[in-house]
Amino acid sequence: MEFKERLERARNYDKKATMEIVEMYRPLMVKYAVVGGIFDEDLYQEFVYTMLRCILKFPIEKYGNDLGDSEA
Amino acid sequence: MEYKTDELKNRFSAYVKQAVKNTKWHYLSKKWNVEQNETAYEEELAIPGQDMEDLLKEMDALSGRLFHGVIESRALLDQIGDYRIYQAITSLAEEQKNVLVLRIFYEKTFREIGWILGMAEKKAENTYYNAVKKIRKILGGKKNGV
Repeated sequence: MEFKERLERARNYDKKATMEIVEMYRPLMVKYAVVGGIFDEDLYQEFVYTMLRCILKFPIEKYGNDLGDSEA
Repeated sequence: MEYKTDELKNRFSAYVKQAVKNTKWHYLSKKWNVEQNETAYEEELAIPGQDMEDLLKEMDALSGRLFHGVIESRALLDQIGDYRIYQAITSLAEEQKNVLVLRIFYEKTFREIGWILGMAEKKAENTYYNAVKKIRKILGGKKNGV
């Protein structure tokens, strides 16, 4: 599945696609959740919440259409 | 086609990375603020230059009277040397003053304060933190000492 399609599914509250995207960014979240050499579980949970908000708020119309137009 | 998809993914990744960084910054500054305030409360309201033994003796004597229903807030507040703190505390409502005195001078738990003043534990806690907040506001919102 293409990333764009996966993202659009996630934006339509498809659980599987959402989980796949969150999983995709797990290493990034784990990296930033380490504070002073210690993994902060609470911070990691905040990141997962941020991630879900990003999926819904990312202006896909702007970038998606730009890309689509140039492709056509 | 592959390039376009990557482009979208790259932009999304940059968006996520920035959001994660912002979240971390907010989380850490919030945590830092909480830690700062927790230690500052007691320090801020401590009595400067008071001999420890005298204070303990006086506290014992007052504790005895307290459980007969008398809160000697006036006598205790008179010991505060800093005029601004004294003024700030005396401007509080009677209930807030009592909770503050019980918490700081008598070192009671919120449960005990609630029991002494006949209020719920949670209410005593809220009253205390509201009082501290009000004092801080009167003193000009400084967090580290006065």
